[in-house]
Amino acid sequence: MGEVGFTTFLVDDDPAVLRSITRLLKAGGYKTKSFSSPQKFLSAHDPSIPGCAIIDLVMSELDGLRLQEALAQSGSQRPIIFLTGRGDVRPASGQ
Amino acid sequence: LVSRIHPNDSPTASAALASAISRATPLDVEFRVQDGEEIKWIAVRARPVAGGDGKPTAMSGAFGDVTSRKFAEADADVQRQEIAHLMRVSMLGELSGGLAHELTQPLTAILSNAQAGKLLLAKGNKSLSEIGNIFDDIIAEGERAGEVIHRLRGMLKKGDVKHEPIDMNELIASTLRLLHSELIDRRMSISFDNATGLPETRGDPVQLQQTLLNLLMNAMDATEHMPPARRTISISTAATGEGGVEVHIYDRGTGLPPSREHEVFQPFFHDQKAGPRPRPFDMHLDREASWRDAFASKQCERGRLCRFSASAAHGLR
Repeated sequence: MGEVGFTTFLVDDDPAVLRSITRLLKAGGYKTKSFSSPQKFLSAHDPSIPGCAIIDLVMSELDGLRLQEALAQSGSQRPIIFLTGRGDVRPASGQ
Repeated sequence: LVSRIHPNDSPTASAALASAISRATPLDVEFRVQDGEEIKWIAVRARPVAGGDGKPTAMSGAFGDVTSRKFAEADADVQRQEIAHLMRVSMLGELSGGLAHELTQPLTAILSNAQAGKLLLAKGNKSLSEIGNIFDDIIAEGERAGEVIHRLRGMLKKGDVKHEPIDMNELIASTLRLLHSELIDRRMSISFDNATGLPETRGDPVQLQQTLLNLLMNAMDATEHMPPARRTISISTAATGEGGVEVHIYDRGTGLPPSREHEVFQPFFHDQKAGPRPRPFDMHLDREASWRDAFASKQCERGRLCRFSASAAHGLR
């Protein structure tokens, strides 16, 4: 169950995947905010809200790793879980 | 002889003969005849002979047995189809990562939806509308995965060349859907400017899609080492004056040195690394069609423009 006060930020540019994982997180009791693009997430990002981000690794606008860089540059320490359909660790570890 | 003409060829042969006599034009027709157990191909070349009143009353010319040439042509067709098929398979192999992603997306959505639904039910959630939404999405995503498989199956299977109506915009859109993940992976952006009200064209959708994939993959290769601003491909469709459709694929890549310009239309030509990848230009054209007119490729100021056209009357040409 999600801890009170914590928010899960979900970023995925595939609308169907975004909807389904949002449903799953909400059904699991997690307070969830979903974003259909990395830019929307970045521009609405409030680092003071505690919680983690779940980010699709491969997105057309800005991929997950660059989004992570952008977050880090903005001084955010938010932990990130990457989603990938590739079943491949290499891109997720940035190699 | 006329009575032994193969039933499938009989209408064509009769029509050609009638037309040659009534319009006093030379006759040039090929047809099959049944010779006992055997089938033979006969070619007829003849000229009308005018009678007293100037109207043709007879034909004068020659018959020839062209069976062996026809069989050789058929063999060559089979080989061409085999090669085209092998090339599709190898091209899809190159795209396998991106294609797998096109399937894992809908499968992820299906799984997450199903798990969410199960959780909601286990918690005694009574919101039927939310459960209904979940099922709607599961159905839509199941169909999405099915479409990907359907398109792949079309590309992977061996089949005779078809000649059927094609909606060029839809064919391009579906090709771009197949390439979606590959394009993201390669950090390519693609724009598609689809003209409305295009005339219907005819051709073989699988081979046309193969041609598109091929041109797009070559365009991607050509722009691979370019700065992001030049990793773009523009596709556009337009109606031609003669009731056909023209497709333009423009990349802003490295282009070709002028010395290799003539190679572009060779079937196995490929501009970069990775060994030969075909531009299967000559595989899906009617034998008579002039593919040098149908396809053009030229160096632009900053990149390369490939163009091909198709029409309802001639198929891809």
